[in-house]
Amino acid sequence: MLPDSSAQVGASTERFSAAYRELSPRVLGYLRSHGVDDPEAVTDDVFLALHRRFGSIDGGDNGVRTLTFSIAHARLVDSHRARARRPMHVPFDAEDDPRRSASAEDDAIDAVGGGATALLTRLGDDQRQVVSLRVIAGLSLEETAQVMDRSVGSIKQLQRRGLESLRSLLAQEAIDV
Amino acid sequence: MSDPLDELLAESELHDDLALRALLGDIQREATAVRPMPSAELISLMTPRRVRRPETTRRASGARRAAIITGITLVGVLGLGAGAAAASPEARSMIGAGVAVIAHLFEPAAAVNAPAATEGSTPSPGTVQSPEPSGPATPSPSGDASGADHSAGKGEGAGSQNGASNSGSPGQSGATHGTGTGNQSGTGTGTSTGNQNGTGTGTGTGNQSGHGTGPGPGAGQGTGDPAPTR
Repeated sequence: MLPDSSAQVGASTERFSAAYRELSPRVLGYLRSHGVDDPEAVTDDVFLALHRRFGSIDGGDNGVRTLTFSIAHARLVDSHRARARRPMHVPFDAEDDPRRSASAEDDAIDAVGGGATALLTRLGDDQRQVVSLRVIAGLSLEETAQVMDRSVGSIKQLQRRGLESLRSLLAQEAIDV
Repeated sequence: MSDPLDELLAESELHDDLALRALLGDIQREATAVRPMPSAELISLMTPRRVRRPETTRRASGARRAAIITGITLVGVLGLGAGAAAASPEARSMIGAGVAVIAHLFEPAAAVNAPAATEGSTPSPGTVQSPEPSGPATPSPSGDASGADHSAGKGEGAGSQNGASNSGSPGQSGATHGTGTGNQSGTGTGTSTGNQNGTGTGTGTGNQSGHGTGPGPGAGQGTGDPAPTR
């Protein structure tokens, strides 16, 4: 007897919703930690792209997570390339604007501290990507290598250097305070 | 299974660094503190809905219905257009004039020069002169013109005329020479420009088909230009 197609569609929708609930904050955090313009819109775009390929994903939840961050990583690279092509603009520094009011995201980050992510942004691009994929996205060493299209050995090396840099920055912060 | 952050530190041989462990925990917490608001498109994708198979059937029958309605509308519009053209005197005269011009272009020189031999009434443009009564056609050894004759020829008898023919005189030849542009059928004798079908005797320019009998008097003209030749 063939399975009810409506039940399949319902199950797929439910699975996609669960993936969004679980992964969307991580995707947004990953994009924000790399300074992507309008990270909310890019997050939305990532999940729309994921939905188009959702029926053909192998590997269960790990497969969904790996594909999600593969798409997010590709969008991040695209964003950096687009930014490099754009003419140089003098950025508006909201900190210097007395009319500034904090966004909901800023409030949320301030509520949980916010300094730790600022340290992450001081790492080099590759190290930051590896550490954020491991810490924020929760990917394994192999999955990180797959997303960044690198060998596991090079990821391991970048990870070690990134963590050592963070430790140095943390020590520097302690000295400054 | 161990905590992913502990695993991460162990892979880099930094498992004993508690400050770094706390920093990584803070990064994880801060980065995932904000939950994005999905767009309307994403919300619609995440909204459960049932597959409604009958809708497909309805859509297919709707397409068929639309095709039928389109066909009926097209036929109606074409019918209205044709009716309007037929009902309009201007349209009739325009068509008649157009056919006359075309017939004139294909007329042989003899027919064009024929007005000198006009007998009786004066032909005018757009009229077909009524032929002389000729009676029933009589067989003649030389006048059998069965089949289609696409040339100026002579024929006598019943026939049908296609072309621009106007102002016929019914009863003169036992034939019907109607008024109007279109097909003319009947028995008659005459010269005409256009298509002549049937059995007839006369001289005509144009298409002639049917059975004819012998040389005989023919009268009548199509589209006004040619004069009857007898």
